[in-house]
Amino acid sequence: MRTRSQGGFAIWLLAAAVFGVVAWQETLVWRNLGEAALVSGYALLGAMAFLAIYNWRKRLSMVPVGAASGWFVLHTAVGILALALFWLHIGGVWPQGGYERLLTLLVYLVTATGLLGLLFQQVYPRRLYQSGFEIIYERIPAEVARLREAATQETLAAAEASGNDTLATYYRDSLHWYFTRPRFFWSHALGGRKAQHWLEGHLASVDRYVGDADRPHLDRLAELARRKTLVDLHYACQGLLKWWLFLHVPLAVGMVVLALWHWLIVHIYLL
Amino acid sequence: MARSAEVATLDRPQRWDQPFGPDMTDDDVDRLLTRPEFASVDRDRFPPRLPLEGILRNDARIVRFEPGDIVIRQGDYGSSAFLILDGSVRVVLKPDLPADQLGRQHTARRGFLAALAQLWTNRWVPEVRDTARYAQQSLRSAADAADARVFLQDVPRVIEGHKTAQMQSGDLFGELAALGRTPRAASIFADGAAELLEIRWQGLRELWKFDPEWRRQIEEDYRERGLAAHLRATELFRGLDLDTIGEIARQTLFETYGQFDWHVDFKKLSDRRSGGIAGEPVVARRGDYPDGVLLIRAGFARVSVEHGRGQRTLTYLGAGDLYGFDELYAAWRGEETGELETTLTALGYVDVLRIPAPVMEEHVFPKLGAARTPLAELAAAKVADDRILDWAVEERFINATKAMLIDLDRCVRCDDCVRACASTHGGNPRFIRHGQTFDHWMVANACMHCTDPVCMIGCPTGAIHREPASGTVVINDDTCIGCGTCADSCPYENIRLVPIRDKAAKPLVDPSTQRPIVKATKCDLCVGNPGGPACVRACPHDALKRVDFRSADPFGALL
Repeated sequence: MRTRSQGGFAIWLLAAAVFGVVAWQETLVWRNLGEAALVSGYALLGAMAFLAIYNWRKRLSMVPVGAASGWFVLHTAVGILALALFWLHIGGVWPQGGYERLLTLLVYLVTATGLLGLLFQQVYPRRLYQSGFEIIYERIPAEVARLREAATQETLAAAEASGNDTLATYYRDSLHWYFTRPRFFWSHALGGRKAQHWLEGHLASVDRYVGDADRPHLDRLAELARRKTLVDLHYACQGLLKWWLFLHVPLAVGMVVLALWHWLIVHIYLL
Repeated sequence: MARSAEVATLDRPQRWDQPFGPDMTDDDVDRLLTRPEFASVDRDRFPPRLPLEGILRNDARIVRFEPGDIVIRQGDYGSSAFLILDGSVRVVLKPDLPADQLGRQHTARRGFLAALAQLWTNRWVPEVRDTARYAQQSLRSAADAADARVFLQDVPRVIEGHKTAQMQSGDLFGELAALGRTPRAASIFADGAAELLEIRWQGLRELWKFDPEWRRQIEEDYRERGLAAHLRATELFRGLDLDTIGEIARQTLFETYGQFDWHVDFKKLSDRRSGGIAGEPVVARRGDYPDGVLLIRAGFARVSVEHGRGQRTLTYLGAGDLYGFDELYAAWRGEETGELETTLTALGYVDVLRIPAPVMEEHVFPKLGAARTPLAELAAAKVADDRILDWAVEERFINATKAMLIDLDRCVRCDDCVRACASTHGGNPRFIRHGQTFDHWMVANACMHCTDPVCMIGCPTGAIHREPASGTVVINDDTCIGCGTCADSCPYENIRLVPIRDKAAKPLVDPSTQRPIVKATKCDLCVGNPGGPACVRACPHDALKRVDFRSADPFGALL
């Protein structure tokens, strides 16, 4: 989250204040009535409802309902507030009862995936631009196919020019695997250099067997393979920047459904 | 590896390989040469490679207009002038013709609910159009799409309701906008059948350059119609009385450097950086003594100094900026020798006014206070700090008033901006989140609403135009004929032709050719939608902004 404005700071301050007020109210209710969870429960339900409408904000881009960046800061701050309210609500970190434990698990998973997404958003943009290469995620399969085709043609051209199969064999045994699809996903995602290490090692292994006729083709193959490494980096980082939401949103939906059922059951027993 | 000694051959491309009007004949040229406007021209003044006959044959064309046809529209950018050969045309003086009669878009601002309704009114397929609207347009089609025209339905009523002036055979119009790269000052339509000679800017420039009478007439027209107002609008001359301004206007010289259609070469060069400053026409050189102050009238120029083995860009100048003032003023005060401290080169094309030194010394300098900051002081900045400016100049982003600048250090590639654009434009985004990058900045492929909108030159129906109120460049879908002239001209590849569908979502095709009907589309800054560009509002990380590259610190908007 990169909102560096004073507005962002104020939102976090407000979230802390809300928590303070709820905790104080809950203490008052507990002292006077003995049943305090209703205050934090309703505050928590309100927070969950607010978190859920952030997804709707994205669909309302045609109308001025506030900048998405402001909504995003609010979503994050209220998300953290909701976790604090949740702990206040259950009076600990792990409740009794199977249903409550399932709900708690979902709350933790939603929070964890949200924080993971936040971490990705802090780390990956910088890593991507520092690669010096940009590609739209949806174009990556086509780019990989293009690179593979170019590498294949380069290999065929080498065989034709030199009359031997040194590069062709090398391509079939090593680089073909590399060009087939994105590779070294987790190494790229975790900031490792396994792909570069693998590639340079393999390129070095064939280097001493290559003659003058093959040399320009090997150089071109190396160039294509290095570009493929950058494409793979984008595939991993951009993929994670997109796919964490596919965990966060369904888990959040499940959590809200269970929370509503919990709210209904509580009121049935209260009545 | 043995290389073939064989080479392919190609005649070196020449200036007149592509004549303006392919239908011009020798008879047409002979007929034109008998007219007084050309009969009096001293042909010996023209160099052998640019004879007057050649100019008329290749840089001019005869165009016939039907009654009511609009010849030029107020606010349009044009690259040609018109000489009336036969018939007459009318200039609309006031009030201006309404936008819809000019074939322009009438942008009604949507309310909150109307904008929200797009949620359910957007079709499941993009680019759906109400084709019934197209039939209501006053469009005269032609065999060549580039010759299609918008016409006025009721000429007598227009004449009755507007103050107009008639222009007759022998009158010239449109030359100031064509040479000065400025918007057309008024709309002109044919009030009967009219035959006009349209001269493209290259030919007009040669006539201006080699024939004293044409030069005198064009400059006189500009002095009369535009120069005094232009000088009055310049900060330096603001305090001067009208007589003094008139005197300065009388002595000002006009100069043009570079290519008017710079965008054509710019698009062709795959590696623009290889050209750089070396290929730019020099307007003034460091070390020379200035004979006047240069006032940029249109286009852009680069200010640079020698640095190591190359030229270092210090800044760039656009319309209204001055060059050579500091040195001349310092010399007048006896503080310096007056040598130019920097070099000025044309960035593609620049139109300058040279105000002679004696005029400045007599009328302007005595009224000024302390000396201003010389441009050369910019050289005190670190070379590394200039890199981003150099990039913006090389890529001609300096032309942008609303470039889509994305901070890649913040952008999480979520495409919320793209989706927001699509949902406000009937399902298709009007930009691509991709483009030229420098460090962690990206200028995405979105219309930049240029200071010098070359896309507007040549649109046969005036469908692409500037909104008078906001200056936003928009395309009227109703009058766009999908000829692609604007998309071809845009140096930044920011205009796209899209196939359209009717209200039943069926793809529309031309029955005669079976080819799809296409329309030009581009970013319109969500004109008409409440709240401004949806892309900016939709970014959850404040990574996207629309910036004016001429502002003091365009990148600061994102910091």
